[in-house]
Amino acid sequence: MKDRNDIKADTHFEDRVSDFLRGKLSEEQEKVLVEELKANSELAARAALMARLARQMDKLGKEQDAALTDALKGMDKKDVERILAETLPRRSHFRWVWLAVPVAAALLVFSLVGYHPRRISSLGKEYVFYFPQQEFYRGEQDTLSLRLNGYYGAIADRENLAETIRMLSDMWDNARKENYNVYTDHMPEIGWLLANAYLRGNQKAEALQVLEQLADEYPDNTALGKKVRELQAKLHR
Amino acid sequence: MAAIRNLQNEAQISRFVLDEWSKISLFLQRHYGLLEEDCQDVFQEAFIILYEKIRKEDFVLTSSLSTYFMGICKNKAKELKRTKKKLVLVEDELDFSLLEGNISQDKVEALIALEEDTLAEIQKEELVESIVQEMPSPCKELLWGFYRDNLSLKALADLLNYSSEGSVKVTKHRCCEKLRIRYKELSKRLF
Repeated sequence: MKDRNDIKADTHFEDRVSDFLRGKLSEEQEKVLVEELKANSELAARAALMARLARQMDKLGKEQDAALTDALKGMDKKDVERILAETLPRRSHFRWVWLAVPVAAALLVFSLVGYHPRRISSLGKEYVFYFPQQEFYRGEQDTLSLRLNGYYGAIADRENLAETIRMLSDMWDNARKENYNVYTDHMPEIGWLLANAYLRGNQKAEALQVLEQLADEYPDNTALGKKVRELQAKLHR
Repeated sequence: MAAIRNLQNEAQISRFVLDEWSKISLFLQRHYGLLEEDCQDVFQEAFIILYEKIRKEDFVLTSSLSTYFMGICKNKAKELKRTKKKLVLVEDELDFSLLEGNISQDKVEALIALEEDTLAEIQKEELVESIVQEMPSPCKELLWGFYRDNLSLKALADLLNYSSEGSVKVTKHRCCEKLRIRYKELSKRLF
């Protein structure tokens, strides 16, 4: 199991390899790195993979950029403007001020009436399947992922919910530790399942706490980040 | 055939527009204090500038197209801010700070040469290509931004809405670990 020092050593190694690839190391530093890699086949393999990744991205990126510039060269300006208009989000045709009164009224109603518990529970059932397990993984699944798979149905049907929440909560605490462990890579799925399990149990505050922790890890231009924020917004109404 | 080619071109351009919009819109709103509508104006004007530059005979790309385009957007945003005399919510001179030095192919070859592995070179390249093509978020945006667009950790934190450079570094490390594990899994299947 990796501890904080191991992770620090790993990121330092990655920095050195990145600097090597960009020609930012001194001659002496390069020599030291190469000697280390010659003496350690595992490190050499890691460095080689980083180098291949950089090369592949450069190659694919150049191909994509070339194809795109060719595409643009072959287009009329009016077609480019049309594509922009069709692709970008639509602008509102209404001035915000015309919406202010009904929006304010709706907010007032929600704040007075509150969010019905049945609605909170049904959000958990609705949202848990937005990310079925295959969204989190590529390739073969390990033992833990197979176990997590079983929780989707349990959460939707509220089967042994208290036990499910307890198990997921333990996993969530472990997944978020600094030490790299078996739960670390499953963090997004565990968090998503736990948040929705809390909702199924009408534990709104606990769900929001997990969602906030997920939002810290996943920016709003990621698929999970977007859904987390969408769910947070619904719960804050 | 021409009609199909045209549709493919349009799809390619749309994809680029969507990818860039998702990165740039929040950045412009947050760092230049622009409304979303203003961001759309900036984006559209910048894209037409990109289009016109590409069509010039002497156009030479020295960075990735994404980085080049983001530079145009940044300049247009500053221009708009000056004309509207808007107050900026955070520091004015934010830069898409780039990493010093491009990836050197000689250095890439040097590291690859140190690898002891029984897989053929072509098999390794194909494995890495498939991993790169399938890369999910957030690793895709992070690693492409770092290796291809040459963006610094600070720029990535700003663009991708991470709380700090440290956060970007940790996520980048996790992504590299996932790639390494995936590469090993795929390598094993070849035997």
